[in-house]
Amino acid sequence: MLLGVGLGLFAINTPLASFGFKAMLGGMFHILNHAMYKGLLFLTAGAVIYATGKRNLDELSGLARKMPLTAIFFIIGAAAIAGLPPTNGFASKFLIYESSYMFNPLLAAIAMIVSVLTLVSFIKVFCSVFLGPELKDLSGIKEVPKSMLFAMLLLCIFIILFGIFPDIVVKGIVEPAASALLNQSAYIGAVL
Amino acid sequence: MIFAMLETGEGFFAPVIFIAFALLIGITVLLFRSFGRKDFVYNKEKAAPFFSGNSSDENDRLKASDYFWGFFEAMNPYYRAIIRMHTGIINDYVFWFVATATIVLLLLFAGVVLWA
Repeated sequence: MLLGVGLGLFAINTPLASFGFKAMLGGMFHILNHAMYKGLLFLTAGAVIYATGKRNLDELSGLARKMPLTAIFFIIGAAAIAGLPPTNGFASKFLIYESSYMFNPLLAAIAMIVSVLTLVSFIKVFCSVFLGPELKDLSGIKEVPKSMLFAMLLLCIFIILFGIFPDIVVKGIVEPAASALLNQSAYIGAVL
Repeated sequence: MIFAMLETGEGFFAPVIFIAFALLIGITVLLFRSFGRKDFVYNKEKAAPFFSGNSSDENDRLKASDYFWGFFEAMNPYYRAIIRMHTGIINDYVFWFVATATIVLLLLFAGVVLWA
């Protein structure tokens, strides 16, 4: 997010202004996406704590058998935060990577390595919590109530829709916001 | 609109085409799978986990802290250095923030100068 928006502001009146604008679109789109997939991941974490009463990853295992829907929602959230296509996280990260590459390939490389490490960390969480053998003291747990599942499902739908039709979101929501940020005189005029 | 692409200025991404290809690959995999043996009978015994030839119980499971053990061992000097940097003193964190921001800005300047 900082990289995208920062590049956009940095590149004003430079030869790379058009790429800066794309980076800013990516950064702002990522802010929107981040709110959704991070929110979803917090909800799945809350669902696990609600169902098991445990917070220590070492004490959790094999929950996908008892909480399959939460497991699926976690996979979608993890894929989005790691920037895997076709989720919304990929769309915004792709915009940032491609445009930051034009400024300095090293920036894009660092950003991609961070994404890979994010994926690695979430694989660890998913495998240890949702896969593996079922623990005896977790044998009585069941899926969380429907109201909690509905909230997670809603975020999942937006994550996937924003990932499949990113151009609509970028053109309809993000581009006007980025233009307003760059064209400050017009914004001030409109407000006054 | 269905094949609308996300333009990045340098490239593009067409999610619907990506999904179509993913489905095509999935169907191909299932097609190959259908050529497999029909006499295979799945039962729990065949798929049961084992540990060095012995059957496994829940104590053999990989805990979260066991994951990537080799990676953390190999990167031990790096992690020792990183942990030492986390002093808990805010001045140190502000220093790292300013230092990192400076390096990123220098990289950006280098990119713009090279482009110009």
